[in-house]
Amino acid sequence: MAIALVAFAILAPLALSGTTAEYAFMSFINQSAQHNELLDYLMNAFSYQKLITGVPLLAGICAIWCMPSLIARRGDILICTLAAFLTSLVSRVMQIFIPDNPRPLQDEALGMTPPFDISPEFHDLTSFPSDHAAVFIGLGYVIWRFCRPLGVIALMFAVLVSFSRAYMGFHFATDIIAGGLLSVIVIELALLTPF
Amino acid sequence: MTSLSSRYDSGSPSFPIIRESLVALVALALVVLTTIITFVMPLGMEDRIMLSINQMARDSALFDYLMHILSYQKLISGVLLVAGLWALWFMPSLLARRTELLTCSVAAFGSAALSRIMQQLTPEHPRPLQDQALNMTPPTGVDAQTLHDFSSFPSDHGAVFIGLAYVIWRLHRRLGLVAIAFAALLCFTRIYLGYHFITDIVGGGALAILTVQIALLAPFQRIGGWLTGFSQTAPHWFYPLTFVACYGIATLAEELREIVGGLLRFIL
Repeated sequence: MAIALVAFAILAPLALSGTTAEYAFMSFINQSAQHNELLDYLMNAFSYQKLITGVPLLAGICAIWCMPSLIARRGDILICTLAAFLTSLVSRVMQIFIPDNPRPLQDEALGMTPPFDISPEFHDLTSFPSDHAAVFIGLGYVIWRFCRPLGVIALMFAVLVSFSRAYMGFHFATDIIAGGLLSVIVIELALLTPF
Repeated sequence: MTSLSSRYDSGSPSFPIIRESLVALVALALVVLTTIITFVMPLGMEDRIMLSINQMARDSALFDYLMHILSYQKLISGVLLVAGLWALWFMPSLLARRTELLTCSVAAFGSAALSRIMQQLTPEHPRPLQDQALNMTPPTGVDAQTLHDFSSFPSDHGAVFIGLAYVIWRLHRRLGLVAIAFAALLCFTRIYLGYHFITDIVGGGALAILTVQIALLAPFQRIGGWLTGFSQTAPHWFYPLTFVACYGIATLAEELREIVGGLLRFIL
């Protein structure tokens, strides 16, 4: 928990200032854009289709809810899951207060090639932190906390899905990492409170 | 544990055969009738009813908007009906009928797939919005070219909505009445928006009821019983998978179809 807080504190100002390392990473990923149609299609699907993103993660929560060995900890599971969703609210609030931070697709300095059939149009929400990543990685973390083996798969899946949003140019990589760290913090906080 | 799971697959539960067969026959007759009406003998009366409903179009933007979101927002349509199924699943008084619930729900959704297949196999039937002879005014916010490449008969949404409501009604009269009223509302929105003729909806609904009746036959109930047993023996597999399946049912597998369709484009 302390680690997460420190990491977040370091990461936040970095992400906001738009370091060259970040740009380099995004350009590197962007090289694959428009080369392989299948990859582009899959990444696009992951970025907005709920069936293959949120639904499997929630199914994982169902699984740990129904595990006979975890029945006694259902209260905790419920709190943590709610906290994961709450994080998206937190990150939305943060987005309002943080100065405008254009998404990679909109960033002129970056000069990204959008993967196929994506127009650089977007609502004017800042890019940092990523609320999708917060929820996905948050849910993955909850599952990991209660069941290691399943949690490892869940976390890897959450990271893959979040990465697809970076590939599509909706977020910088740091936005995603920050979103994930934020939700870890919120979840741990929720467990400390006497609910 | 074992006594509970044997309760689920204890052979075929006894359904009143005569009554269930009658329902199935009526449903079959309706399917045949609506098919004939659609392709052979359109009813002038139906066109008149459609047009009189259409009088309301564009009168109130709010009403048009509400109709629109009811027809495509899954959260307030399919999800609510599937939630009704879950309510029945967890009712203590209905534990013994879980097999019936599961089998019939799958059948209701299966009828939507069936009606999709029927749409492909039967001759093209333009939706009311595209029917020149009808000359409907599209309600506010509806594009007259929507869904123009899908045949209108029978209605897969009608099948799922009416099918699920019928299953709920079978197991719980009161909740079923609410479900039926709600399904009727949802079907009305699709008629109002010009996506379907009334006979499309009736045909789809009848197909769903027919499928549910067929699912009452022993072989299907046995499979259903086997599946239901897992809810006791392996709940941490059963419920997550059922959750994903229910999401598919509530959305009529739209996203799955989109993904599969997209992927097929690459393979073919």
